[in-house]
Amino acid sequence: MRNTSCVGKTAHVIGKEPGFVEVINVGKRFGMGTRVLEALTDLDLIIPAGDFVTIIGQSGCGKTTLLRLIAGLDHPSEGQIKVGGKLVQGTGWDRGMIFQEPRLFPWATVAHNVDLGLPDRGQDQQADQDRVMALLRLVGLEDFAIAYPGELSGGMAQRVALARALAGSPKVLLLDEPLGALDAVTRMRMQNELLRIWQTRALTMVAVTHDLDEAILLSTQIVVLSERPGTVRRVIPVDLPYPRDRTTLEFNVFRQELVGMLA
Amino acid sequence: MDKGGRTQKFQGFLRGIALPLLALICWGLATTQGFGGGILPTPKDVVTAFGRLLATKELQTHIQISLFRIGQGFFLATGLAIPIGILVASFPRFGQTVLPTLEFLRQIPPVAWIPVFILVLGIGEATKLAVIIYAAFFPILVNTILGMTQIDHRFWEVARLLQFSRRETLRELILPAAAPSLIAGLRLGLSNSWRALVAAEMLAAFSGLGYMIMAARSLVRMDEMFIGIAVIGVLGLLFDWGWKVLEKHLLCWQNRSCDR
Repeated sequence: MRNTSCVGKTAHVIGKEPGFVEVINVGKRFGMGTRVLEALTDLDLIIPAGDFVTIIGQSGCGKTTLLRLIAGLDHPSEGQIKVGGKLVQGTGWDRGMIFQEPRLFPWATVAHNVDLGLPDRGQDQQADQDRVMALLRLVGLEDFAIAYPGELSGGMAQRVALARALAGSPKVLLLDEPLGALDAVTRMRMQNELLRIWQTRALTMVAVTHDLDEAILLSTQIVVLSERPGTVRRVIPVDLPYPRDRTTLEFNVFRQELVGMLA
Repeated sequence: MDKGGRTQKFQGFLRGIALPLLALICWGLATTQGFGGGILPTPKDVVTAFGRLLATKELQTHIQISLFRIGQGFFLATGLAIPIGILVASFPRFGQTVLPTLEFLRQIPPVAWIPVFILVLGIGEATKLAVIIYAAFFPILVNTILGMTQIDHRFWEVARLLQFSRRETLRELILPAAAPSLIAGLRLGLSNSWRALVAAEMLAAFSGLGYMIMAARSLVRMDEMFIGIAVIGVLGLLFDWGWKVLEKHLLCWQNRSCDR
């Protein structure tokens, strides 16, 4: 295993590619009353287009902050972030995000929730409906179009959130522990679903997780953040072929080495 | 509904009707047995008067006028209070500018303004309209602000990620998310303004249910006064029932009771 930065499966890509993420010397401070909380400092990270990157690190090290900065929900105090060569100055259709909670609108049906994710919705009702149904089929929920979020299980709701995020055809999908609240079986199924969607679409995935197995199972690179204020401690490429199987020897050898590195 | 549920509902209905029934019996007994000093009408007097007021269409006319006033005033109050509530909740500086004044005005019962309104606006429809708007405005405003501030901040982030326009934010997020609170405010506003309207009609009107009661008083028609009072109560109940139906329909997502 090497400890070189940004050597993924597609390290040759250029910065103008839509899914290319550059985090350049980023710092983020939050004012907490009279105190100032430094969440991130001197953070540099390059994520090649089409990679699946997971970010790991201790609780409170700024993983979520980093995702929110890339999403454009927050603005860096220092440095800049570019996606596809363009400076991030707010949210945009080129980036989608799903959170630990599904954040579906409980007053809207499943189909309507997904519909709200379409960039040019309302121009052609029939086309919208077709696109929504295609997305629901993608996540296996076409039979639940007229259900309300309150009627869904946690895993189903999270799949609707995934469909809604994909409705905007993002180039980068940011995942803030979206599987964290799911039971073990649902979680494994969702991991496979994420992989399938990533492999069939031109999509850069950036995920935060606490689960090392999940990180190894999914990602092309694992980014380890330091304690607060968070900065990149190391970037670890995962050189295992897909589909990965957590029961194989290779997987477990990799896991051992990873644990050794983190200790 | 299963059989047990229906029986229970019927039993609840019986319990609810017991007190009015008891009051009716006491009233009938008292007036026919010579209590009440000869001023209090018997139930029979009231029923006869009711028939007469219906036959002359007097009652219907007063009801119609009061309902028209309340409809008009409530519509205007809603159109004022909801946008102002949204502005107050969205722009803190605007809120800081107008809230202290509004909080002051809120303390004053609309009836207290009636003499002022009469002097300024005269004894015409404008006074009644002003009283209704005043009475309905504040509950709607307060609940709009409450509904807005209670919107989960995480939903605002979703709206940003999905590039909502202003219109989409209002239609898809603010109104439905604040709906439970909005409906509570509208309901309260309507019952507030209904009561205030009757007061206004007693002091400054020549028509409407409030006027009907005052007119009956000057003729010492106690039976007609009772009819006026009962009709006001029944219509108020009907309004409330209407809100309940609307609430059940609009907020069906809250208790998984949406028709499909």
